[in-house]
Amino acid sequence: MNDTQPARTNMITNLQRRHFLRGTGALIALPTLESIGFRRFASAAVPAAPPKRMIFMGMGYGVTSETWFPDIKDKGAGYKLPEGLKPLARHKNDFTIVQGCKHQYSRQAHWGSTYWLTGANQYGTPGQSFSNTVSADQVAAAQFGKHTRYTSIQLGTDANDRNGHGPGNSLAWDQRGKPLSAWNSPLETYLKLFAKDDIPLAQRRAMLAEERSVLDSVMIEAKDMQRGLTKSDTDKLDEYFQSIRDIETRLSKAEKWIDVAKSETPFEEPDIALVGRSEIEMMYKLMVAAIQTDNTRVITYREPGSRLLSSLGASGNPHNVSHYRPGSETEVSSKMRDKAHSELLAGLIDQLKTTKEADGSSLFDHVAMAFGSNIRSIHYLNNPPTLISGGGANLKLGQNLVLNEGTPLNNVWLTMLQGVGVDVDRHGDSTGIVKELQA
Amino acid sequence: MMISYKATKARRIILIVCMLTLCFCAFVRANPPEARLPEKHRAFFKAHCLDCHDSQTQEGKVDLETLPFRITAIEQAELWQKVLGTLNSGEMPPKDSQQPGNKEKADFLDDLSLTMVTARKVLSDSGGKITIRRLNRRDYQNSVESLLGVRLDTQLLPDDGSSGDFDTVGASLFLSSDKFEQYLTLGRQAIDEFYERRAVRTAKPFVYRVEPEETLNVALRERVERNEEYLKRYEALDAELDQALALPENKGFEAQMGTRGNRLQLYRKMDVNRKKLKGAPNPKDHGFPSYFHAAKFFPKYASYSKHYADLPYNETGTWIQLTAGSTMVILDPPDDMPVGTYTVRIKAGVTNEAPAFRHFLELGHPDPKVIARGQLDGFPLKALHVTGSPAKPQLIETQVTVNKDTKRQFAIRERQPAWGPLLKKFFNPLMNENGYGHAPSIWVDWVEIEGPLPQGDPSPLEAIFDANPAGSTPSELERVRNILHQFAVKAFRESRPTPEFIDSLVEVYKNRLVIDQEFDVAIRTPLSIILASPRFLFMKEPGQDGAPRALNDLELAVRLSYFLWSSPPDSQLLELAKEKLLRDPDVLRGQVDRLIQDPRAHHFVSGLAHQWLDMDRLDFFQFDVERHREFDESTRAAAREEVYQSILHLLRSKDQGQLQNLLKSDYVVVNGLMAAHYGLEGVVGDHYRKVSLPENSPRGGFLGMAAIHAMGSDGFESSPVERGSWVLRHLMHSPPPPAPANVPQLSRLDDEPLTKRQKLAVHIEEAQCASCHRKIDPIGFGLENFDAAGKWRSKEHRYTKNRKGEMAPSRTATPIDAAGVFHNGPAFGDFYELRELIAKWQREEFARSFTEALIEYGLGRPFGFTDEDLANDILVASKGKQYSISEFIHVLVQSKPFQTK
Repeated sequence: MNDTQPARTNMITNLQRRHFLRGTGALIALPTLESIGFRRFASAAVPAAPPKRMIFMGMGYGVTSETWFPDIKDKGAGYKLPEGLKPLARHKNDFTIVQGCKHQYSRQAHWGSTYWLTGANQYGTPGQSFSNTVSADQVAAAQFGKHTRYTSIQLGTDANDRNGHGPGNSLAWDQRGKPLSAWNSPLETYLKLFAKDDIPLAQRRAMLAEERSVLDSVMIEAKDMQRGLTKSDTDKLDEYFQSIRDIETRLSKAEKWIDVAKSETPFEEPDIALVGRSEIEMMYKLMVAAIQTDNTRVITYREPGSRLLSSLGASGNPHNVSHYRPGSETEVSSKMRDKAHSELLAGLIDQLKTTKEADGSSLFDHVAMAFGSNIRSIHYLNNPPTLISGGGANLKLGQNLVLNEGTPLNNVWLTMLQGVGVDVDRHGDSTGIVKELQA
Repeated sequence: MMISYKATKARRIILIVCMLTLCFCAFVRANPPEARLPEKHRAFFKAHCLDCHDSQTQEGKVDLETLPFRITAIEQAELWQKVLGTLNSGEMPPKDSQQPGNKEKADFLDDLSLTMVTARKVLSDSGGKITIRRLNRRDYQNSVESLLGVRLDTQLLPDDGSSGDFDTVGASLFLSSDKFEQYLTLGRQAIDEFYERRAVRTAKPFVYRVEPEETLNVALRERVERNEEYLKRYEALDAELDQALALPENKGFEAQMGTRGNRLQLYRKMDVNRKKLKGAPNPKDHGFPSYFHAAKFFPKYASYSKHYADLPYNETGTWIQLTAGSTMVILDPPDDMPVGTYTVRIKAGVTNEAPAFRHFLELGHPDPKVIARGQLDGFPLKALHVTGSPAKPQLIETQVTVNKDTKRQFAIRERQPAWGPLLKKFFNPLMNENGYGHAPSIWVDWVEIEGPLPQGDPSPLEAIFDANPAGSTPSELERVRNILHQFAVKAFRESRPTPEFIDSLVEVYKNRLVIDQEFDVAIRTPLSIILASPRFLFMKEPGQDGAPRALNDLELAVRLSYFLWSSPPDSQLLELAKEKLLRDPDVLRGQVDRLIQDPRAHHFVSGLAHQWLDMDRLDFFQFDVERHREFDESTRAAAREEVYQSILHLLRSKDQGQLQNLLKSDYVVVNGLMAAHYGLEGVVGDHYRKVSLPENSPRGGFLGMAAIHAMGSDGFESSPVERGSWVLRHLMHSPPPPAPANVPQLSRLDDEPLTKRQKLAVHIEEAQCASCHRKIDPIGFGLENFDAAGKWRSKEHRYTKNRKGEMAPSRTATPIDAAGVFHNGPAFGDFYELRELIAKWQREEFARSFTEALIEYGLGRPFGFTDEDLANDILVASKGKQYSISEFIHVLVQSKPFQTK
C-alpha cells in the first residue's frame, strides 16, 4: 500500500507546477509583489522587546491514545514521559500536555481541524448546514498582523491529503467564520517568502500603483454588481469586497517597506518533491525563518496525513490507522506516525531555541504554540491531544496538566491568547482562563 | 422469515417478493417537515433518563423533562445531541443504575440519531433561497475555454470544497483574497496561452516518427553482448573460486564467513579475506577490479534481455519490456514544437498468449530520472488498447494537447502499477520460475506524432481581435475600448459592463503600454482583469428578499447551460433568449434535449455523479500491487469513467433511459480496458459502448461496477461497512447517520483468525454499534463476492498474524457466505438475490436519492424540506415515464424553483 508514488499528487508534471508556482512573470501576479525583500518590515526602528508570536499545528486524525498521553494519575511536573512523546525528552521542561478538554459542539468524528481552533457549532446559524466562527490564530492576527508583511500565514499540504482534517482550506477561519487559504507546499511557501526579485525600485513602485488600479477597476465593477441583490447575495458578494480590502491592506504594507534593502534568503530553495516527513521538516524550517524575519507573527499549519505515513514506509491510510487495533499493523503505523510527529516537533523546538533575537533571547522565549487535533484517536473527541509549548505566553510548562473533564478547549486557547498579550475576554464558548496553565 | 433453501431459486424470489410487501415498510420513509422522536420511546426516556434529569432533580444541571420530542429550535437539538452523545459513549445511563436492554437501547439510538439528522435538516433549511453562485472549478475552466479556446490545467485551479455541500451550492462557495489573486494570475496565464495559440494559427504541421528497432533494439543488442562478455569472465572467475573452495584446506571457509551459500555476500567478503582462502583467484585476472565489483555489477537482467533479443519480429519493431530494458518508446520532437493539438499514431500488435489486462499501452510524459524503469512523470494521459498481432499490427490513433508549459516529450509503455512492487512481487518470482522474467506481450512497429492540427473556429476573443484590426478606428485607444467592451460582454454572459469600468481598464492599458511598448502585450493586463471581475466569477441574478421573481430568458439560459454543461450558454441559447422564446415550455424542452446530447453534458454527469455517489473516495487509496495488480491508474480512471458513461448512456438513450438500469441491467457500458477487467471478451478499443452481458452475470448496474467496490475498500481489502453504508445512502435512500463520536471501538476479536464477518459480529453485541450496523453490515457482507478491485471472487482469506507479528492471509481460503437478512426486512441467499431485492423494491427510494442530488446540484442549494414538494413532483412525473433519467431533468428545468430567483 505504501508504494513509491505518493497518492495522486502529480496529475501535472512537476515542471508545470514549478512553473506555475513561480508565476508567469506577469506583473499582475500580486503574490510575487509580497516577496519584495524579506527583511523585517519595521527594521528602521528595531522594537525594544522582541514581539510575541503564535503557532498552531494540527495533525488531523489524532494519536495512539495508549502511548501518547501521560497517565492521568501521574500529574504535575515529575510525570513519566510516554512512548509517543519520548523524542521530546530533551525538551520535557518546555512543554505541557493538557488533558481533559473538549469542544462541546464538536461531533464530526472525522473532522480534526475544522473546529479545532474555533469550537464552533456546525449548525449554529439557522438556515445553514455549515457554519464556523473565527479561529484563535486569527484573533491573534487581528492584533499582531498590523506589524508584519503577512497578517498571518497558513500552511497546508497537497489537496489530496486532507482526509481527517474536515472542511476548510487551512486551520484558520476569518472573523466571519470563512475559510482562509494556505500555501500548500514548502516550495510555494519559500517562494512567497523569499523569492528573489530583481525588479528596480521605480518599476516596483509602478507595479504597486498598477495593483491599486487593478483593485480600483474591479471595485467599480463590484459596486455596480451589488445593485439589486438580495441580502444573502450581498453577503456573498461581500466576500469579494473583503478580498479586495485584504489585498489593499497588504499593498499598503508593501508600499511601506518597498525601499527597505533586501536581505539574503536564509537557505536554498526547497526541492519540489518533498513528501511527508521531509515536507513537514522543511515547513518547520520555513516557519522559523518566517517569524525570525518577522514576515508574520501568526502561523497555522495543517499537516499532511497520508503523505507522512507513506514517507515513513508505514502501511495503511490515515483513516485506517486512526482506527488502529491493538497488536495490528495499523497500531504499528499509528505509533510510527506519533514518533515522527514528536521527533519533528522536537526539531522545531531545537530551532526555536537556537535562533537568537536581537537582544540575545531566543525565538522560543517569545513564541506560544500548540500542537494537536480535535480528534483524540479513533472516533473519540473527548480529551483531544493538546501539547502546549513556547515561552511567549508565560505558561507553566513541563507538566502533565489534567483538568476537569469537559473543560472547554477554548479556555486553553484563551489562556494562550491572553498570555501573549492579545486583548480578548473570551474565545468561542470559553468560560474563563485555565489558571493552572499560567506560570 | 426463514426461507426454504430447498426451493428453486425462482420460487425463492417469488416468496421473498410476497413477503416484501409486508416487511419492507421499514424502508418507506415518510417525510414530514418536522423532526419528532417517535412517541413509543417515551417509556425508555422516562425510565432511563428522567429519573435523574427531571425538572426536580436536574442531576448535573441537566433538565430533560421539558425537552420536547418534537425538535424546533437549535437549543433543543443541542440538548438532544447531548443525550445521543452520552448514550453513544456509554457514559449514560450510569453504571450503577438500571441498564436498558440491548435491543431497546439500539432502537432508541437508531430513532434518535435519525431524528437528529432530520432536525438538522429542518433547522438548516434554506427556505427556498438560491444564493448567488461563484463559478466552481469546473465552471471556471469551461468558461475560460469557451472564451479563449484555452483549457487550463485542473490542478492549477483553486479548490472549492470547504463545507461538504455540492460544488454548485452558492452559499458554500467561498472567496478570499488569495483566491482572488489566483484568479488574476490564472486569467493572465490563460490570455498568454491564447496568444501562443494565436501566433501559430498558420503553423505548418510536421510529422515526427520513431522506429524503435533503430533505437531500442540496437541498445538491447549491445546490452546482450556486454552481458555475455561479462558473464564469460564472471563464470571463469567463479569456477576458479569454486575450485579453491573445494580444496580440503579451505574446508569451513564459507561457514567462517557466515555467508550461508549466498554468493553475493561471499563476494562482498572476498576482497578482505582473500588471503585466508588458499588458491583464491585474483579477480583482476578476469578483468574485475575486485570481487565486490564482479558481484555488484552482475547483470541480473541478462536473461531478460537475451530472451527479448531472440524474439521474432525484432527486425521491424520492438517488444516492450516491463520493469527494465526496452520499457518505453520515447517521442522527442523538437523543443520548439508549437502549442496545439497533435495526433499520436502507434502501429502495434500483441501476442495472444498474454493475459487480457496486458494488452494496453499507456501514453504519457517520461520521467527523465527513471527512463530505464519505464516511469512516467505524473499519471498516464491515456490507456490504449492493442488488438492486432505482430504479424498483422493495428494502427492506434489518439490526440494530445500541447500547451505552453507542456513537456515536449512523450512516451508509450505497457500499462503497469508502481515499479517497486512489480519488480519484487512479479518480476523476481517470474524470473525464478521461467528463467527470464515478464513474458512478452506488446510489440510496437513504430510511433509518430503529427501536428499541430488545424485550429477550429476562432474563439470569441479571437473573433473580437479579428473584428477590430489595427487602424479600424480613428484612435488606437478607441480600438482598445471596443475590444475590452466586447470581451467584457462575452465574459459577463451578455450582461453589459458600465462605461466607468471600461474607462478604468483603458487607464490600466495606457499605463501598461508605457512599460510593455506594444499593444499585444499591454492589452493582456486589462483582459485578465475582466476574468477576475465579479460579474464573470459570479452569476448575477438580481432579486428582492421575500419577493421571488421569475428569471428572464437570459438568466434562464445561463442557469440552464451551467446546469447541464457547466459552461456558458452557446449562441443558440443566447439567440433564443434574445428573442424571448426560451421560457416557452416546448422550446425549453427541445433545448434540454439538445444540451444533453452535446458532448459538454459530460461535465454535468461527472459533476453530479462524483458528488452524489461520494466518488472522491475512489482516489483515497493506493491499491496494493501484489493483490490488485490490475487496479493501476489506468483502471482507476477507466472505472470512474464507466460510472459516468453508464449514466450518460441512459441520459441520451431515446427509449431505454430508465434510472433503475443503474440498479440492475443486462448490459454494461465499458471500453476495452474495463471489459478486460470484467473478463468480457470481444470488446475492442478505448471508446465506451453498450455491451450485452451473459446470463447470470454479476455485472450490470452500480452493484457490479469496479469503481463502486473499489470505493468500498481501502485498496487492500473490501470494507463491508463502507459498502453497506453506501448502498443504504445512495440506493435505498436510508442514509445511516454520520459516524458518531466517542463510541467505544471493539477490538476484542482482532487477533483471532476469523473472517471479516465473524469479526464484525461484535458490532451486534453493543447497542451503540448495533443501532446502525444491524442495517449496514448484512448488505456489506452481501457484496463480499467483490474484492477491493471489484473482481469477482468466491473465496476469501482470513487474516492472522504471521511469525513477524504482521497480519497475513491464511493459506487456505474460505468460501464467501454472502447470505443475509435486511434489518426488519427480507432475507437473501447470495449476491444475486440481494441485487434482485434492491432492484425490484428500492426503485422508488433510489429515484428519490437521485432526485434529491439532482435538485441540490441543479438549484445550487442543499436539499431541504423546502424542496420536498418539488422532489415529489419530479418523482410523480418521471414515474409516469418509467423513471427515464431525462424526464427528471425536464421536470426540474420546467419547475418554478428552477426558473425563480
